[in-house]
Amino acid sequence: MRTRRVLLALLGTNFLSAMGITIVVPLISNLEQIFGVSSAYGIWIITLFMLSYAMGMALIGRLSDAIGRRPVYIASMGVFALGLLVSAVAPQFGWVLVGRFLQGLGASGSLPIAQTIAYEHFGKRKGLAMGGITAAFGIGVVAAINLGGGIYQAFDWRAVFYVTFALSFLGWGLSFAIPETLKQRRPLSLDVGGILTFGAAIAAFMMLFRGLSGSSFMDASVWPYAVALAALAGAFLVFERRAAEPAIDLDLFKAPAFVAVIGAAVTGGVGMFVFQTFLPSFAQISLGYTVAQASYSINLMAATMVITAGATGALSDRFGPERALAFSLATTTLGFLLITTISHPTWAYYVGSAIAGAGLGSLMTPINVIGMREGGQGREGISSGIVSLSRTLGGIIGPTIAGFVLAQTDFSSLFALDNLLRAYTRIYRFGMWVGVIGFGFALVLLIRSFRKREVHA
Amino acid sequence: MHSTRRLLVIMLIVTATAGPALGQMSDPLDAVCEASRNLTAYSAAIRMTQHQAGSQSVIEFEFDFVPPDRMRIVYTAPGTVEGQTMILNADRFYTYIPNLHRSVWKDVGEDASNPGEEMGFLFDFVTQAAAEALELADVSVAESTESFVLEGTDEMIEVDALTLQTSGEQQIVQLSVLDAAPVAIAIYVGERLVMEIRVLDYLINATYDEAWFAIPEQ
Repeated sequence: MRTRRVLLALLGTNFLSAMGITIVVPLISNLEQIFGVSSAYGIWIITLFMLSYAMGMALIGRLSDAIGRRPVYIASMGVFALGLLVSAVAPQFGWVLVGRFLQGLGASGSLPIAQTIAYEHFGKRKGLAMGGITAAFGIGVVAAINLGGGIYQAFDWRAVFYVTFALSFLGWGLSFAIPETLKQRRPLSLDVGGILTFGAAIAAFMMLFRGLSGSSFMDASVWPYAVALAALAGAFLVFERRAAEPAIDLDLFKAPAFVAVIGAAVTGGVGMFVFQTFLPSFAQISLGYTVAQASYSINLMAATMVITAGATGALSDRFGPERALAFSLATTTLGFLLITTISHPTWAYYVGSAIAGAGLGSLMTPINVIGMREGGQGREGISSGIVSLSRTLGGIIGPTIAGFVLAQTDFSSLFALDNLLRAYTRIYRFGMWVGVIGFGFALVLLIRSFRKREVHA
Repeated sequence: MHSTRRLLVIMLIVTATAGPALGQMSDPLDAVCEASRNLTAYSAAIRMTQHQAGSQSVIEFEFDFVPPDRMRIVYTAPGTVEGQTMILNADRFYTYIPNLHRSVWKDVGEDASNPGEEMGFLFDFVTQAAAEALELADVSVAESTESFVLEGTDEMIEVDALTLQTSGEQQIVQLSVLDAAPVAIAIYVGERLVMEIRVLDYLINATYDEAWFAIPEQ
């Protein structure tokens, strides 16, 4: 009974936090008009969220290993709800951004800590529980995409934040039902320098590619970010080597299996975010859908994502997470391939997205299980945090590069829309090749698991 | 004396037979240069087919041009591009893609390619630059005219066919015998057909509205 209540609380909080993260997506396509700010300023609504989301992931795993999963989870949900409230009542756009920063920080704790709690709480059925959490998260994303636009159209942007705040407040209340699962606490030592340089490096990376979208590398608005990125990456490594308890424990990367799962997480993250981010606009261009039709058209992919997210948990428990991961990345790659190769656009769109959805839905559980297992006992929080962070990094790198490809489109051509369609094809081909690399990592892990079994036998 | 008379007769025969041929060769060229030079406005319905790597894209649009640098294009087909609009006004270019609710503003400098250049000789014609384009190419004219149907009106017209050869590119242009306006162009790169432009209906030097070329505020 208690197990069921814990599971329901984890499912509920993740469903609600996914809604909170995604419900603002319909606003993002029309920032200038909604907030009356320039596009260069408006884009910080995404940049700041991703920045604090990534920085939070580097921080929260370590924090939860030290002070416990439960307080960090409750605090994450609370900060997330607070951020939404700040955005909802914001007197000016700057306060909306402050709210977005808090939302990113809070959101960074929801999925990885929930996965860690499930890993520690559900024993042999952990895969099933983790899959269920991913599925609940996925359903939240789909519900929010369908709901967000409607709320905005019926009311205004504040209503979107108010509704999300109400949902997240409910999620925060639910999070109190979650038990403490940490068995042994580690001493708390925050690597502030590491976290800050890491966040700044991500910001420099995003600004570099944003600059490259409109200017050449040698432009004064571009190359300084490349210099900053190199300097910050170097500084981050120095901080991590010197820190007693580094934000990202580089020792974990001495284990080849951990490196492989991180590789799979980054490539999977690229695939996941590239596919999801560009799918609605791809539907508009290739099928001539309206914005609303395009939003609904991704429901098929979402459905296969949710179904396989749940099923992969059981598959992972029964056959091992390595097979589940290989299935995930092979299927994702196939989805990318089909969406660019089936000649009939409607079939290409729906078959490709449904298959990619099945692959992407089954990604989270195996990478988290393998990551936490390879990270070792007592480091589940930080391992899960690094795995989620790696996926998020993929989620930043992929769409940034894809956005750069799109920005190269020649809109002054009479065949501008065809050029755009070709750019989308290039983006999905890029996703496919990243998927192939990811599948390579999964194969390494699979072969390693077979060898281990032979040794044990 | 006899030989002088014979020479005169031969010259008369040569002039009499070659005259029409020379006239036929130069007339369409002169006519198109003059029509282009005197152009004050051009409106047309156009179909363009782009051939690329085994696939082809077809678009249809309404095209308005006022020399030297005002242009409006409104897409009519296929459904995925219907309503898409492009406006060029001096060095400012604007396009709106309704499917994506996306507007793009761009400065078109002297070095930048002009959005209409994909139309080949038709764009030279509307920009009053037909003479320059013909000067830069090796031009040959077909000996006889052909029949051509303007699909927009089902009107049958007679056309002259020109071949313009420049380094690496060949354009086969069909000009209406009536007013020397280009009605069809096929552009080849090497042996490969890359673009077909077909005018479905057109008006030369008709009235136009300045508001067509107004670029919305950014």
